[in-house]
Amino acid sequence: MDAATFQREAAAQERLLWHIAYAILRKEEDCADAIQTALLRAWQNRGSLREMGAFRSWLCRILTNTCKEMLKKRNREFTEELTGEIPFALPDQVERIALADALSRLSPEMRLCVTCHYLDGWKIPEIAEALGIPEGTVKTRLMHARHRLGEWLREES
Amino acid sequence: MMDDKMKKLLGEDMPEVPDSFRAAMASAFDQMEERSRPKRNVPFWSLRGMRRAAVILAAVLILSTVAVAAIMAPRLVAIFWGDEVPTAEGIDQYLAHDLAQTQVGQYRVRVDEAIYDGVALYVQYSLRDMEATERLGQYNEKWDEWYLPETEDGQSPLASWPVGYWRDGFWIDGKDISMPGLSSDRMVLTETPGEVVYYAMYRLDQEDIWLSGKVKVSLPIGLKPNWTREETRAQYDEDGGMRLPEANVLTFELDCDVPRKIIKDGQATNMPDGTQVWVSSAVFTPVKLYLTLNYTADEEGLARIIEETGIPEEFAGPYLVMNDWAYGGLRLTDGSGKLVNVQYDIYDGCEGLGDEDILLVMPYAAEYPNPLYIAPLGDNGEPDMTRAVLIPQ
Repeated sequence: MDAATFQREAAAQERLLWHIAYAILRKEEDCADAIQTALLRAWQNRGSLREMGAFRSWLCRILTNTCKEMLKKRNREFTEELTGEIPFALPDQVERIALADALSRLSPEMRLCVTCHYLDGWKIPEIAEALGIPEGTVKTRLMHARHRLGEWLREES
Repeated sequence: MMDDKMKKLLGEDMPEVPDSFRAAMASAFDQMEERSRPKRNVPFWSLRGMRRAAVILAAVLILSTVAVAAIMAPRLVAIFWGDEVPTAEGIDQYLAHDLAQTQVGQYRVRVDEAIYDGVALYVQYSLRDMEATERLGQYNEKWDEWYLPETEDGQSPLASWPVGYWRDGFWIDGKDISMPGLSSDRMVLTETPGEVVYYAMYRLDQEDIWLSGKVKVSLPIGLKPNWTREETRAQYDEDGGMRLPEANVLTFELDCDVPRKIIKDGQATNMPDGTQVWVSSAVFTPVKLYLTLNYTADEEGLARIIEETGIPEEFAGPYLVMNDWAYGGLRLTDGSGKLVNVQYDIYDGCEGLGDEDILLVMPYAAEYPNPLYIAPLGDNGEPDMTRAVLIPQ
């Protein structure tokens, strides 16, 4: 695979790659570091990709692992408190802020499954394949995530 | 929470791709090109360089050997496992051709080929607009490939065709099978006017389905049904499975008597961290060696990882203790750590890591050594036999 092909294929997945990085890291600057590292790793190991049809899953898995490594390095609690006062918020804004808070309280793995499934429209087998986890694990994470999000949002309201 | 609402809120929570992210991608692309250029004044024969060169040389030698020894796999198999995938001699005899066909108006639907490898069912089928005078898609000169651009409303042009694969499942001997996990497919636009070819691999083992003898496979390809709600409801049985419709499907018979060896419950290995691992199932097929490993995490080891990573305990799982092992560049080896056959990282290795089991796919070999092990690569690039697990044969 030449550099132009690699870049074109990777650029075509820009939005998805952003979703994955943000779902795990939740920090814009960390996401930028992660994607840069992941792309260079992928490029260095491009010899292991023999079938272009698997490019998306392959790159997503490298990015996921890179993000997880960064989390390890950060070694901090995933639960983040919303800082600052919210002086006034319309009802739908309240719901949005509550969701952002609730998402932050999910594990990175759950956030990733939820984002890929609901936002990017991936099917469960696709997520399982890309993340290297059994389909049952994806289902369990989605189920727990929905349950927790529902609970937290009910508490907020 | 309703799915639509979840999707809407998630969309609102997710920021648009920021400029910093785009800039990071662009920077990586620049660095790639930089690294692709030959460098000067860099001492190649550094110790690290020599080690790397030795590894590359070894890999080239192994690849060359395998390339000579390998049997050319059918396209239907190679498209999933790579052109150089080693397979058993005579595998072509299990490949069935021209299996079923129908025509709906101007559209022809055909099952071209199928093969069962003892674990997975592979099917090649095609859709063709017989009135088309040109090939489908558009050619991108820069990319040197044909692709199918989306329509203005973001749909595939094939969505407007009255024929296609219309549900997420299929039937075997009339029994409804939900799409198994780890299944995948590929779409190829051919040179034939109006034709698109699909390659599908269904991992039947994931639904605990093990075929033998002659079986009838029915695929939901053909005219997309336009059932009313009542008709749709009537189509399902009391267990929630869809009854095999009389129309809208293509059915073919396939001989599934391929040589397959299934060995259960190998000897357990105690890892240095206290985790106990064993092969619960090894399926030797003419295409791949499919392995299922089970493990029991050591509680202290797991607690240590949770502390090191900072993962909240409620979200942590036993899978953490096997994460490095499962994604540590697994290799098949003999008892001395000598590699068996070649392995491509992207195709082989871990396909699933759960809290109790690990799903692996490893390369086929005409003859495996006895004893046979699976081991991750250590820091020195060699199989780490202290973490090797015996594969029963």
